[in-house]
Amino acid sequence: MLIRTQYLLTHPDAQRRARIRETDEREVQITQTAFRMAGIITFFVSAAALFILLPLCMQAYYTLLGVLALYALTFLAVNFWLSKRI
Amino acid sequence: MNNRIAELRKQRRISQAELADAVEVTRQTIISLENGRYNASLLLAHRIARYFDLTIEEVFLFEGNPYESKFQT
Repeated sequence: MLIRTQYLLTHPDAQRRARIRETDEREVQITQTAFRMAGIITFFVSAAALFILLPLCMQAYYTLLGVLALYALTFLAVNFWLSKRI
Repeated sequence: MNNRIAELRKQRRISQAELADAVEVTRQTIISLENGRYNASLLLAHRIARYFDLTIEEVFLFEGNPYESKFQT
């Protein structure tokens, strides 16, 4: 990474190409959609896994439940915050 | 939303790479725009239109009449 950074600092053309690759709106949209889909799928699979964990291990059940609750609370908090900012 | 990017590019003999470089997006984005698989943001549409020295409406063709109201009698 250090070598890459050094290279980009000494080659403005390469730096510009790298900046375009990283800020390209289609690529950014793809990445954001992928993150969103991964979050949704993980959430619902985890919620389904709760039913499997319930008869097996209560500690793991409560841990997973806590993680899902944290996810939901974070979503609500960020949703509220963004609705005030934007 | 359709567009005339491919047509305009060929008229001016510009490659996809050159256009992509000029409006600061990747070549893949230009390909997706020309194939109609991706819709440009307002900012990108403006940059592309300005590159061709045209208005946005002359480059991007909106389907249907945007001024036609559903409730028009």
